[in-house]
Amino acid sequence: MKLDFQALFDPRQVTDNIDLLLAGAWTTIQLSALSIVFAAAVGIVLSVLRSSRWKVVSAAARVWIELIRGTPLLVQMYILYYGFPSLGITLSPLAAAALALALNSGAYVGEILRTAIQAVPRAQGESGRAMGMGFIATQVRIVYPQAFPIALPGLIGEVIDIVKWSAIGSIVVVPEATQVVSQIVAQSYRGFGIMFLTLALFYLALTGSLAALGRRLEKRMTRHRMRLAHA
Amino acid sequence: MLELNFAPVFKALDQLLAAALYSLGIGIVGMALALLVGTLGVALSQMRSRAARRAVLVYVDVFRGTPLLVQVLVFFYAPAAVGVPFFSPYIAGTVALALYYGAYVLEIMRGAFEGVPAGHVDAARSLGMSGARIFWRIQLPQTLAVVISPLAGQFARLFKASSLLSVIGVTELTVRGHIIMTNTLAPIETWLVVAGIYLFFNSIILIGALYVERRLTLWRP
Repeated sequence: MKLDFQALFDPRQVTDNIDLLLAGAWTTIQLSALSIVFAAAVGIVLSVLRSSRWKVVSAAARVWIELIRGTPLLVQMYILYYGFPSLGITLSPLAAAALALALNSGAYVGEILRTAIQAVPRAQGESGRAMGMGFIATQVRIVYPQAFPIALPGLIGEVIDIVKWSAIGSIVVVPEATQVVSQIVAQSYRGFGIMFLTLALFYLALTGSLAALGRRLEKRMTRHRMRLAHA
Repeated sequence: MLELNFAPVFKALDQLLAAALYSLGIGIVGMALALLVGTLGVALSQMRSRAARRAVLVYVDVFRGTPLLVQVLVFFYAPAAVGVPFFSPYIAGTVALALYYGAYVLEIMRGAFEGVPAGHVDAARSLGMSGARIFWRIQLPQTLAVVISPLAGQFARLFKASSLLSVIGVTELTVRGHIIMTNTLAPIETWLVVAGIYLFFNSIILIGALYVERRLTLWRP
C-alpha cells in the first residue's frame, strides 16, 4: 500500500467532526476539574489523618496510601466500575473515572501536603502559640501559608497528571477527548494523523498552560523569599 | 451485606500469576529502554550543539505533556494507518512505555548529573584523570547513588502503567483479569486479587531499590 499523507492529514475529518471533538474536550475538562476538587479533599483528609497523634489512625492512613500507590489506576477504576455494582453501588462511567482519579491522586496529594507542613520550621508554630494564638489560628495563619508554596510544585504536578490520566476514562467509554478521537479513527483511518495530532495539541495546550500558571503562582508566593535574598 | 467469595478467583491464580510475570517482563524491558533513552538524552543535553539540546527539551515536553494512553494508541494504530500490515501490539506498547517514562528518567538523570559538584570534576582533573575516567569514576557513581530511589519510583509507575497495554490487546495481567472476571462472574474479587498481585510485585521493586541504594551509598560517611 502506498502512503497517502493527504488522506492521513485530511483536515475535513476535523472540521466534519468538530462538534463531537469540542464536546469531548469539554468532557475532559469537566472530568479533570471534578477529579481535582475531590483529590484535594481526599488529600487534605489523608494528610490530617496521617499526622494524627493516635498511632492507629496514622497507621491506617499510611496503609491506605501504600495500597493506592502500589496498584494501577486502571485496576482501581475497574474495582469501582465493575466491582461496586455487586455491592449494590452502581456508578456511571464518568463517576467511576472521576472517583478513581480522585482516590489515586488524593493519596499522592496527602503525602505532598504532609511533607510540606513538616518542612515548616517547628519554631514558627511554637512562636505563634507563645504569642497567645490558638492552635487552629496558628495552623491557618502561620503554618499553612508557609507550607503551601513548598507543596505547590508537587500539587501542580498532580493536577497535570490528573488531566493526562483522565484519558483512561475512554476505557469505560466516558465520551471525553481520547474516546471521541479513538471512535472516529476506529471507523476509518482517514484523517488518522490529523486526529491524533489535534488530540495531542489539545492535551499539550492544557498541561502547558497549567504548568505556566503553576510557575507564575510559585513566583508570586515566594516573592518575600526573593526580597530577603536580595537584601 | 454481600459476602466476598474468592475461591473461584483463587482457582485461576496460576493464570493470573503467569500473566503477572508477562507484565513484569514488559515492565523490565520498558524500563531498560527508558534508561537507554534517558542516558542518550542526558548525553545530548550536555552537547554544545544548540539543536541537540533543543531537541531534548521538545522531546521531554511533548512526551510528558500528553497522556500515556494517547501515545499507546498512536504507536498501535500508526503502523496500520500508514500501511504496515502487521505490527505487534507488544512492541508498540513497550515502545510507548519506554518513551513516556524515558522522558521522566531523562529529567531525573540530568538533574542528578548536573548536581555533581563542579569542584569534584576540577579536583579529578587536577589529579591528572582523563575525561572518560572522570566520567566513570567521579561523575557516574555519584549520579547513580542519587538517582536510584527516584528511578525505582519511575519503574514502579511504569510497571503499573503497563496495565494500559490491555487496551491494545497485549495479553498481560489486566487482560487476564477481564477474562477471569467474565468466567467467574466475580468482578470485585477478581479486581481485588489483580490489584494485590500488582501491589506484591511493586513492593518487590521498591524494596529491591532500597537494597541497591544502600549498597551504592556505602562510600558515604
